[in-house]
Amino acid sequence: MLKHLIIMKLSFFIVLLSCMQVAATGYSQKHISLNMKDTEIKKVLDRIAGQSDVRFLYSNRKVDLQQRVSINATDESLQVVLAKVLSGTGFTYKELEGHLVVIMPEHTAWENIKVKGHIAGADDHASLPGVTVQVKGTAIGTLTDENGNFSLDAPSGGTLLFRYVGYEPLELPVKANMDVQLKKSSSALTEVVVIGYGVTQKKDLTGSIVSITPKEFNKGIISNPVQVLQGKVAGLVISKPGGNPNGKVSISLRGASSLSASSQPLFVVDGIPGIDINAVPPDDIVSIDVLKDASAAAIYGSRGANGVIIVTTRRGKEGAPQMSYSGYIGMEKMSNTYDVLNASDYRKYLKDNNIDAAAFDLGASTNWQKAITRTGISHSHNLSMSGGKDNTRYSASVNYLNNEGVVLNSGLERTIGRITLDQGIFDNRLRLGLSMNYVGEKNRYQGTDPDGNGDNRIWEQTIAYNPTAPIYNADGTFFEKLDINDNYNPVALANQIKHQRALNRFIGSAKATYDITSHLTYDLLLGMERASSDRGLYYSKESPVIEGAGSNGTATRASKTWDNKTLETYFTYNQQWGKNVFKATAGYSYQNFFTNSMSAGNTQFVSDIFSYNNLGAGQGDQPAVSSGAEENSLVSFIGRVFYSYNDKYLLTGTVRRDGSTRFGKDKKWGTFPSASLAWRITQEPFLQNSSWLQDLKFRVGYGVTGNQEIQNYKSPLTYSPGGKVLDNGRWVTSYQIGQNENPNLRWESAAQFNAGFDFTMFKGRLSGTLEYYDKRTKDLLFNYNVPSPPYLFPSMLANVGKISNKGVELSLSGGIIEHKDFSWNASFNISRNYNKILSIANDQFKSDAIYDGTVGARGLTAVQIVKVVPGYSIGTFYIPHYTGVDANGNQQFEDLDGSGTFDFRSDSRVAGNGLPKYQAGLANSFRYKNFDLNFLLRSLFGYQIFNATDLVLSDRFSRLPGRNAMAKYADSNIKGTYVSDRFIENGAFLRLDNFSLGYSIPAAKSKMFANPRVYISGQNLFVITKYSGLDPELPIDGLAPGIDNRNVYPKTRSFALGFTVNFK
Amino acid sequence: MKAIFLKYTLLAGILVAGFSCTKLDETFYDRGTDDNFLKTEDELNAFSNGAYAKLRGYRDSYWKMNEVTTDETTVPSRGADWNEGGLWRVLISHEFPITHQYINDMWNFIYRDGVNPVNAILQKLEGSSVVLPTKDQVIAQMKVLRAFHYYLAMDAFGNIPIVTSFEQTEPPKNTPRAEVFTFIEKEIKDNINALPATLDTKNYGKVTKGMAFMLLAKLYVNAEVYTGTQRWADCIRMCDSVSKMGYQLEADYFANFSTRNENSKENIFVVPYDAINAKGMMLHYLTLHYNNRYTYGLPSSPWNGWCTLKAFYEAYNDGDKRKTMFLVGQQYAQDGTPLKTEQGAPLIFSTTIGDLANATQTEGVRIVKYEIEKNTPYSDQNNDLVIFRYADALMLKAECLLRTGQAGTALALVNQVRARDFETANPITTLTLDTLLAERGREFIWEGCRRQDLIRFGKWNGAWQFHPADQDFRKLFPIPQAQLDANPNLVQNGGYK
Repeated sequence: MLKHLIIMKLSFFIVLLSCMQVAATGYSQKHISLNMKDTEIKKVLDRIAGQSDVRFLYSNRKVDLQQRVSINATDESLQVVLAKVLSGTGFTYKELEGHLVVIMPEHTAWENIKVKGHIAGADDHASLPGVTVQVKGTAIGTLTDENGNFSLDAPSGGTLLFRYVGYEPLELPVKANMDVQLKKSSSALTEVVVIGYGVTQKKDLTGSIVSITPKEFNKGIISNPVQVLQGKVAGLVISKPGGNPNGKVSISLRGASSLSASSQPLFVVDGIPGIDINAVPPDDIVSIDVLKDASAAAIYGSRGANGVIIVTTRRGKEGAPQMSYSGYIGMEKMSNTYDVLNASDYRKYLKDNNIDAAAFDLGASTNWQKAITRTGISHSHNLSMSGGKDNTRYSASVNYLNNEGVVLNSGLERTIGRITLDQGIFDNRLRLGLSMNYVGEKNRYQGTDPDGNGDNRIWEQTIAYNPTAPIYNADGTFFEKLDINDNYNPVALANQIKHQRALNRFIGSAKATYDITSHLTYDLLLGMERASSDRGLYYSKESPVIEGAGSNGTATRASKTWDNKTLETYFTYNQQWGKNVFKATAGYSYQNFFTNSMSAGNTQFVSDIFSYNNLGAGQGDQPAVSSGAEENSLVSFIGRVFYSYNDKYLLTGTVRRDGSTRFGKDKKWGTFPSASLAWRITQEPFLQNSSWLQDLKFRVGYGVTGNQEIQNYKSPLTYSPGGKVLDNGRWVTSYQIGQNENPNLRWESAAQFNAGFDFTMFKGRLSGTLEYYDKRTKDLLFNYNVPSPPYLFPSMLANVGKISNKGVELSLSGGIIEHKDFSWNASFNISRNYNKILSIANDQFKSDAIYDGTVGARGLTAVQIVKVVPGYSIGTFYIPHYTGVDANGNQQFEDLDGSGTFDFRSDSRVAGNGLPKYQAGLANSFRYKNFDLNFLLRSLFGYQIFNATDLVLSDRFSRLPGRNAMAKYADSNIKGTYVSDRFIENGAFLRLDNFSLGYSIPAAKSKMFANPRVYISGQNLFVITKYSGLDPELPIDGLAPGIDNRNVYPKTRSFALGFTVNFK
Repeated sequence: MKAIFLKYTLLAGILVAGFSCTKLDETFYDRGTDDNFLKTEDELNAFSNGAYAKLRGYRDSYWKMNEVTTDETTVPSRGADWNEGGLWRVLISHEFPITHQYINDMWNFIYRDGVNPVNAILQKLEGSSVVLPTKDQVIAQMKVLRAFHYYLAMDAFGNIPIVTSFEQTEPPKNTPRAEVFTFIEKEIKDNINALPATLDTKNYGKVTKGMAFMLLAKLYVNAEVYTGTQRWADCIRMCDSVSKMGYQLEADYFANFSTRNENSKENIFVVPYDAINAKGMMLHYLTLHYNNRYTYGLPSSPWNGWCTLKAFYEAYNDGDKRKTMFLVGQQYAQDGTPLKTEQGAPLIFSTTIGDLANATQTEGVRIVKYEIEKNTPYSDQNNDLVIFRYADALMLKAECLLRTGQAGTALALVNQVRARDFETANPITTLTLDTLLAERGREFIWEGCRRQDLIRFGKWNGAWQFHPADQDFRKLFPIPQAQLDANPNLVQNGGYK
């Protein structure tokens, strides 16, 4: 108790010290003698101080020492003298320890007042969490919570000092309610950036890392969290074709660098590599760091070849309990439709072509594209709370998303619950963090799921089905007309095929950080993920498709579980002497992935009532059963050193040695080193005082990263069940060898050189990065042709080819207008990637070219339109050249090889490329008083699309009247569906991708709410493109990007109304 | 404090040491490896059975290519359907591009699904210490099965690589066709005595003595083509050996192709199919019109592709029961309703095909040689695909007799086979090579031997509809470019570039 009091007193003293002027400096204490007449009190006190060792404190505002007094004292004590001086002035005094004397008004007490306040950025009004609020000159202080709120006790008359990384510090006098706005500082160099196995300040970066914070995230109906990054990072192309809530997002960073192994970057969530990004609600993300070059990604060497995206989620912070809600409700509509013949066009066609209307005019008028779609209503809610005291911090959140698809019976429902708990013990030298994460997802699929299961017929039927057909018969059953081969009522397909999945995912992690000494820290992270999915697919008996009526109902049930275990452990050493800073990290990592799956199916159901829930009810002759289990592990040793001299010359070296079970017996280990240097030129004397250039850094790095994203067990000879064989009158299962043995299967590795400038100028109003990279991937994993015989199979997974990606990236961001009431910030990025295949052969594997990419339509399944060949980019269309039609409407193609006859393969030439070369994004953010407006324009250009949809729907002669065709070809005399450059189109587009208008509701007086904000947002508001198809944005992965195969979920346009609020 | 420091350093040390596992051996759960598989009799049997499972690829490779390149069958492009960039049309015209996908498919079937798996099976069988009572017989069967695949390869591609060891890694060179012939002949002869001789269900669908004799007969009858040396007498001997095995002509020609043709006494070597266990018998889907699904009560629409040519169809007499395998004229649903095309016109199959590249939905004679089981829920049928049957042994013997000046005996054999096809006897009166080839065509349509026959009878390079006369080198398929790319030791067949 006593100690406590002393602390209180001391702090009080410090407070006083800071808000008072020091009146005098003391001399040795003795009795005082003085004689002054009609003199200002201030001068009298000065004289007293001159004769003693006391110092006087007073507030100018509260104590007017202009009064004049007279005093006569001879060798009297201080107390007596002061009593004489102050007598009748209305002031009194109080002695403090340390020879301090406070002069204050009589009958007043010094008091602390309760200060409550909120801190936001001056430019965007966004709440700032983690701002340091300190009573000036004292140790009293706190941090703002995640909503920018703070509260503390401070002495009235005191001054509060606000400090936040990246913002200008600010001092304000203490008031009960404080609404504070902080301006951005001229440099964000001290921002913390997550680099994998640690953090660093932006100024110390030597590799290429882009850090994105929630303020910059895209808003709207976000079904996959990675969408928040779309268009924001130079070189990171994120493509989500169509508006499928369950759709796959394809991501590529700095070009396609692999032929068959995955090109997706590695996701690391809170230190655990390989987590599904769908497990993290966007509202809980604190930062996303994109590690682009090899020197940055090398710390995740084994899986860094496609870049690394590190996601950091929210954890509790010290402070009062906080609670906040954010949510939106949105609606989505199909943004574009195929221009096929409508009912009246179709009737006209029948008439114009003298076709017996009785057989084809079915009397109704149906827009099938509209018939299978609806306005999708989505809503999302996020409730979070957090808090902390002393060394205990907690956070919890619940996130719910219901994203109804625009196509009937499709949608996504997801619930995520997260809890984190952090506890410091042993004087906070040991910090323990636990987190639990649950994701429950329910997917209702229309079309195939991301793994290709399910039924895709609906897309084709929607544009092929007779527009005069009714949806329903008079008796309410679905209309069907089955005399046209494989034509089915699309609305019936949407209703009679049920395809759903439930996914449950648990991620738990425990982290311990221990400061062994003030320079040495040890980290241990244990992570565990268990996910299980349960998918059901049922074709109703009513459906005329073969799986429906043909099989009397077909049911499939498939389940899968994933068990991933992670151990990451590392030491971090930190030392500084003089101008030298040295940091080192060394560690070990182990990951184990186990999956098992099971599937069963049956046919011949008496009734539809069970759907896929009672497989035993089926009476199929041979119910389908299968199961499998697979496992793989990764073991890694990591090391990183950082050295900087004088904050000017920076050096990072990284090495990671990885072992993977997936590779050949003696090829399991790979070593991935990197080194990078940076020179902060503005630290040099000749630039240090530049008025326009605040920061300029030159970075250069080189490193090697690896890729192991192939299937398990591809190296050894394995035996698996093959087809059945009639053996002695019985059908028995045979066994076969599954693949060629390849003991030399090893890491695919990418060596990358990176050089760039980071700059900040005009007092932080403009900053940016200009970068060049040259990435060469070798030992490309792919199924290459081998001589068969002697090899059992004519192809095998091997490491052969080389591929090059070179590019430049420019990012700029700036505060164009910064005014109290109005501001305009913009950021722009553009990137260009040059992709080139260097080789697909070596001494052992001879291959001139690999063909890929087909049009999924009858009569075209054997026609491959993409050629993978050295000297060209991935995705090169290699097809005949269309020269026109002859008098009979037969299409003519150039005889490119001069053979006199036309052969598809030898009369083909390069006709374009489906891989976008350029990406550009322009984000703007405006603020006017309480209003804010943000929008993002995004563009991909420098690529072509093979419009296979147009091709398939172009030949009216073979389609009409049985199947619908594109309206523009209703009068065409061109016959046949032939692949040629006739269907190559420019894919370039500019899209208003994201838009939001927000209003921060003034609520300073509310006792319950803080920072309420409403916004409306829109996605895909318009797209400018010459492309004639539904949407020019196609998947960018694989060997054959850029083929529009009419098999995608329609693209949508959406609007959302959102609301966020914090509770006091 | 120091104690705590020590404690945690120790803990960290333990953790690092404890988890610093660097073991990266794969653990297998749902597949076998050399370490744990092929250790029992059952496992070895199941593994050697794999060679028969893969034989089902014969239908979509060698069989297909020996049909659609002849005057028996062609595949017109009907609008978008069956267009495939002209892939089908160049087959009947013999303008084989060296990159042709189906030719490469045929090579891959022969080696990937035939020769190479047998090499693997032989290595594992011969190297196994497991006591297998039937080991010698299985090894002999495997070697003759491999010889069968080499026979297909030699027939299609001529000078082909021979590899007999699973251990070999050196890419092989071409072996001259005559040497391949000698190799195949020796392999069969060396192993024929160990083959099972019975015609029971036990060996149904497997390599038997009868199959081996028939294979030798096929070798010898084509010996002149393969080696330049005639072996007519050897062929006759082999046909006689087949006869001695106990095969009989079925009274009903179509009994050999019924959905229950496993009961045929005539079939010698078949690829067994089953609608449930061994899918893939879908010949009816290749040829029937989409709306013929209502004729047979099929669960889905057929593909409206393959047809026979007018001249070939018209070479059958009207009384010939075999002619009933063809569909021409108006088509009906099971209830007798006349069927329509997708354009709403009556579904009437014409005998003619005008433009191969732009045929209508109804052009061409359809072939239903294999019985179609009606109203089943399965697209796949139960008929077993016939590779060798006894009628061919008789016809081959007749041919060799004719070629060696014994026309009378030959004629009797031909008429013996032909007799069952007519209510009123309609024997051939004079047998020439031309009439024999025509009769072989009528008898063995869709049995995958027409190309071989046309070559042997010297008609392959002559003109027929959609096939202008062409050069001699077209008697061989080109060695696929993909194989030449992968194996620089291979040499392309003459004439192909």
